[in-house]
Amino acid sequence: MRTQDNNYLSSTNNDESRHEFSDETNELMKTISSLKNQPISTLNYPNDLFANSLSVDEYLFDASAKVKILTSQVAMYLSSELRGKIFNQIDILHSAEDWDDEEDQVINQGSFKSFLSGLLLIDPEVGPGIGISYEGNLIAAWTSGKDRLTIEFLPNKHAKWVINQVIDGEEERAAGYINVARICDCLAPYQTEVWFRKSS
Amino acid sequence: MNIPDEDHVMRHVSSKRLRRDEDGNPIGFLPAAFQLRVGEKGLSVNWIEYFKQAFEESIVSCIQHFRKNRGINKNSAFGVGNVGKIKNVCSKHGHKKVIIVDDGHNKNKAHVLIRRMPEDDLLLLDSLASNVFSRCVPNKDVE
Repeated sequence: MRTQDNNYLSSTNNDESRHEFSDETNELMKTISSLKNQPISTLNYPNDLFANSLSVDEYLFDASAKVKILTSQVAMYLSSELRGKIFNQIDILHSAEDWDDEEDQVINQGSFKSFLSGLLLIDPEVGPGIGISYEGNLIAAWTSGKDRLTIEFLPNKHAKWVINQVIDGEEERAAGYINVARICDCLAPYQTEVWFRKSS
Repeated sequence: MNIPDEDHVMRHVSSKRLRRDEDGNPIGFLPAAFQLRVGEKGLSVNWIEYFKQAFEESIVSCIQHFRKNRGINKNSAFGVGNVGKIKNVCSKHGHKKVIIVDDGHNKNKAHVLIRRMPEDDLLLLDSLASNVFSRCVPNKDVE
């Protein structure tokens, strides 16, 4: 079964140039591609904080502004509700009252770009809960009862994911390291609608 | 000294590593909350039974003890896990050599280390976050 799937994927990739996509899909692919190619202006804590004499408040505000600007570049593909919920969580995570010099990092912009690419491909109706790893990578989490999907977006267009899903009464668990471009293929065997679609 | 299997340990979790719903409300822990950082010899936790009170009172004392030893941010939380269950889940994931040992010192006499943990076993971290440290006590809920 796996071999068959791999052959299918490989044949899909090889035949990509022969596919004709809709104008909307072509536009989306162009946007994702431009996101990937854009240079990153890095925030390097604590060097930037001291070098630019920024207060922690200013430093965190700056970090939030930078990832929000990145989001604005793909804003046309995100509902205003989803965008608002992501921005709200960025503000929570970059809040000065919860800042810990010893173990906190602001969201890495490269990781955030991988997250945006993944989000555009998944196109969820329900947004993720967001966290930050010790390395500053954005972690997106969808939870529905015992069903959990957690994806850590890495700065190099890759992601680590772990799934726990109850299927036919049995708990199935899986984890992987993938190129973000393949995120939908990797999640395809699972009932992702429990996380991504609003229940009617 | 190994901590007895029937005892419990508490992990402080930054608000950055809380599992949230799409509105940002905390609903548990992310796997990353239990990940070793570079250079760490073991996962740092505190021993709840060290405080020798009724269990719920020991939880409160343990949180107050955390606050004395380090800065604890308002919106962080604490995970409570059973020692035997931690070892059992690690063993089920192939990490049979995990030990949970007393690491008490002058500054923190209740300190315990979970040693020989793998650095990056996502399935184990997800299990620890959701099935083992299943009790989440928000810092702001304790005086």
